[in-house]
Amino acid sequence: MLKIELAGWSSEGLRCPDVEINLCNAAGAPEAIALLQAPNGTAKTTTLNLLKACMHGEATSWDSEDIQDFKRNDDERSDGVFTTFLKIDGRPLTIELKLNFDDGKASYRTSTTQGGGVRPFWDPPAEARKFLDKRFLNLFVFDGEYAKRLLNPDEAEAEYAIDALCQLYLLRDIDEVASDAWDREAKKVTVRTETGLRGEYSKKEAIQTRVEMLKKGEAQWSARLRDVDLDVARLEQLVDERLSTEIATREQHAEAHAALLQAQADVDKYSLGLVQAIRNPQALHPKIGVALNFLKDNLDKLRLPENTSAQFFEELSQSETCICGREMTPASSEYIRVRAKDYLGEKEIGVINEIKADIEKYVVSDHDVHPHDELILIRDGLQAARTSARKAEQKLRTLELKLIEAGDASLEGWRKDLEIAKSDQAKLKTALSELSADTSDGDYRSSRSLPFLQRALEETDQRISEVTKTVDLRKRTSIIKEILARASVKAQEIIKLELLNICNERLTGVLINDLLQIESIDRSLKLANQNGASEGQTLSVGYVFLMSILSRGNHDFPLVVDSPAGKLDIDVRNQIGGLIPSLCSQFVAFTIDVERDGFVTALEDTGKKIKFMTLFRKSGKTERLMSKLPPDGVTETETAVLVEGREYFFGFNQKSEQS
Amino acid sequence: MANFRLRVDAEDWFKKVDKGPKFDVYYYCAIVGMLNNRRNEPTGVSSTDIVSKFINDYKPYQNLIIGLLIIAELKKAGINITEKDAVRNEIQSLVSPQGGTGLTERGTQLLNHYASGGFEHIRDARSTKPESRDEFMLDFIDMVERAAEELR
Repeated sequence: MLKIELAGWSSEGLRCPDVEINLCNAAGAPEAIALLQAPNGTAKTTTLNLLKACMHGEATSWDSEDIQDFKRNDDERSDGVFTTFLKIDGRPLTIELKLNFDDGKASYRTSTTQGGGVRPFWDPPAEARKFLDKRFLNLFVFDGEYAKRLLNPDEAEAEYAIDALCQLYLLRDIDEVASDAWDREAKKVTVRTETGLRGEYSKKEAIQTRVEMLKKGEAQWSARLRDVDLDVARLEQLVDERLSTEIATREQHAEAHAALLQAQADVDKYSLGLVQAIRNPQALHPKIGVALNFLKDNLDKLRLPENTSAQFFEELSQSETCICGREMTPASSEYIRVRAKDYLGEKEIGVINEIKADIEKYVVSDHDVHPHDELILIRDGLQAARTSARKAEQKLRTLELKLIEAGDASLEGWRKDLEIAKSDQAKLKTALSELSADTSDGDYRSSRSLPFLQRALEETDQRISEVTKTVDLRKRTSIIKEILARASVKAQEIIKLELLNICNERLTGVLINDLLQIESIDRSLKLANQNGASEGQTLSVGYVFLMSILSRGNHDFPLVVDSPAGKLDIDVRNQIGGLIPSLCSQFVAFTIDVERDGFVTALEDTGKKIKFMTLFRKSGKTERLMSKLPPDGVTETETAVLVEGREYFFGFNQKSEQS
Repeated sequence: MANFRLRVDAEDWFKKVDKGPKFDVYYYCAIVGMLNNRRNEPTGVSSTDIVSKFINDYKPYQNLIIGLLIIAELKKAGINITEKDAVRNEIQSLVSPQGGTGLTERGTQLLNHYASGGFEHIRDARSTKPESRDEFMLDFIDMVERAAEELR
């Protein structure tokens, strides 16, 4: 529930008179009813437009022609200021609109007791902004044009008024919150629909089937490999035994076998030696040592790291005097602190010194044998050992062939079987190695990598979990949006019916001699049994509808009306005047003298306190009025006179002014 | 702080070579990457943390490896070794006593990127995966030999 009150306004340098209107009583609270009697030509429409402009904040988009419209013809001032004083839930809110006629620009200033001080732009409190919307303002800054729009079937003002004042927009706000939440979640996932979810489940099933198939294959191939390994070992042993027992080959076999074992041991020894030697980068190539030494030399030449650390300068900047003896001024201190960042920290200095020291130690120092030469020796040893191993293997193979050629059918058979077994062994090892290889990409439909498929399965599971949540959220969002849409329609229907009955009942009371009724309330108001309405009828229906809805709504707004009774018959004025105070908490009207009869008297009859004000421009024709001003309650400015008080209000005669 | 990380495809490729610490493989790749000035952030392939600091076998050579990283990065950035401020800034961005690796977060990541680029260089230079450690060792020395010739 929000309460907006109009406490007054002031105008200076504009088409409307320079004046400050205070709508408050002696206690500082806006009076329930305030009537400002102002003759035609007092720029009442301009004042209402400026009041609205202060409230909706859109004057900054006006062009210079719009702004010039507010300039008084005979005024030399380059700008004009209109200030509106509001109260939001009792707290003052002042919005000042400045129109610069020279550069054709409008600007705002806002001051509240909440925000602290004046802000140089339009900035009312967040809770009030919704109700300071241009369209919404028409609901409480009312004129005859708006009443016509309420009855226009091409407009939707009646529906908007119900929506705004009965807070049905809150249902849309909830809808937006739900939509935003859905959008945020939906952005996180690529699959959002049930079809997509089914696709993910199919993918999961396909991966699972493939993993099961490959695991079955893995078990079979592993078992087969164990058998093949045994076959290979058995056949190798048979071949080896035959070669080592046959007299023709025994000695040579022993010799070749020993050479092979030695060569294999050497290969292991040298390759291990290489692994260790390679760990020293300097051993990899002489040019690496040269490059590291070049780096060290140049760091030395550059005096990097410097002898002085960043910390030294930091500490110096905090000293009272510089090391040169001069006083450390704030400027010098700041300069040193900024420049200190160009120096290395103590710890960084330590690290760079260590790097340089290690280069000195490993690269520059004299070695008995250069690490690279050592590495080359080991590499040559490894190459020689590999060659020896190959030769020993060839020798053993030659011995085999010798026996086979001599007619050793068993050996020939074993050799053939061994070749086949070794081929099988290689194929099985390759297949099993493919299964265990961790490939990072691939197609789950054709991949043979179990780690990859396992990951794909986990990712799919994760996605299914996310999509399930998203699909569920989508369903929930749809349900809540459906509920909100139905609630909005239902609420509109109920409120419209309720308002229809209330309005028709009130119209019966207001238009006693004119049986005017509302047939239906849809987007606009539709009158029963007639297509058009007179200006008085339109105004009456507009008042009744607006006041009914204002009194039914949850918020509390002032009703500001220009010439509220001008177009109404005297008896209708009476009825409307009697009705208004009970339907809104603050009523502000711009009246002319002819409206006093019937309307103002009816307002007085309600017993509510009324603040009476009369405003007229100063001109050559108003001299008679000036001479008859009361002793109290008169405020005179350069361009206008404002008189407070009931007596003057009722005694004021517009014709007198014009004479 | 960042750790030393190895691409999973590199681990698989070196399966028959990797008989010692995993850091050996990381080092082979990083050296080839730095000497060939080839580094990249692996995309479409995952990496795993292997260690958070230089292992004991490499402790004596840690600063030489960091020295090679400084040389590679100065070259990559086109910084002349005589430009004091630029050299200081580059070193500042690479070395740090805080992290276990002796490098800053950026420095460690860059060494990881050299290991990634180096692995691709090794893989591209051979038609098949190595069958044994000794076979790869000999190949590696040849590869380093060719790249080091380009050093000035």
